[in-house]
Amino acid sequence: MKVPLGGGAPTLIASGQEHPVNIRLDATSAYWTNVGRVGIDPIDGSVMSAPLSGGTAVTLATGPFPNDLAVDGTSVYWTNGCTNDCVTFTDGTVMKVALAGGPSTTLASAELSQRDRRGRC
Amino acid sequence: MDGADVYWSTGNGSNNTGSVMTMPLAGGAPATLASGQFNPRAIAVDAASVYWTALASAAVMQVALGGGTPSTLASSMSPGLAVDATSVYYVDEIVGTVMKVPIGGGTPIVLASGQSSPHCIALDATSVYWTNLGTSSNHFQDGAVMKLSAK
Repeated sequence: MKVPLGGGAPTLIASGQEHPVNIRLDATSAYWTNVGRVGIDPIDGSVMSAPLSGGTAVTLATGPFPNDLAVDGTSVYWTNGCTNDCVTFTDGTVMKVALAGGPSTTLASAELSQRDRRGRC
Repeated sequence: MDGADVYWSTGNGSNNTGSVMTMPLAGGAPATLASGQFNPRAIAVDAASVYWTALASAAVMQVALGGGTPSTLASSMSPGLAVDATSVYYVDEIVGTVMKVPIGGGTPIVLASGQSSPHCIALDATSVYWTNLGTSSNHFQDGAVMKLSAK
């Protein structure tokens, strides 16, 4: 007899994502940050969403090394690792975009610490 | 963050110089809930405890909101962490599993295995969601966002 250890089979919300790190949820959707290509050009990070029940993933915004992520009733907020200086990362930004996408806004500029640059939950 | 306080971690190296800290949202003096931690990362809070992952010592940790001696809930290299009313959810990035362990300790349960560098975790009422970084040999272009309906 074989019994699952717990949980059952996971399902795929989205595949082919480039280094996805942070994930947040609201009542209907999952939102995540793709850091983008690591070690090869071009820099192509993105902020994505997809329905919790599955479906097509949507690109809400693109940017260099998106990482930290938050969601409220109207917007998605995230940090980009850099604007121009993507070598020493002294010019990170805090960004905002509507839940459905559209133009993104820079809320603040900040030097991000080493641990904020990529891959932190 | 809970209703009244904010929680954060400090320390970034492979040594045990990290701390888990708290202070009132309204301001005031920061307090140290746990020191001597190995690169503490993801933090989650419920009504009784603070949970975090100590990356450099590959441990999932818990301490009471008022402080005290931290306890080790599980041994795992877990960047991500989430908590609900009964369990703490985490990953093992090296082994490729998504796990849960009862709040307060107990036997960890494997929720999913064969994952490609699982990383961050999110929960809703019924399901657990996580990101798989993908593989370095593919320049992490083969990452995925996953869902397990029965958490």
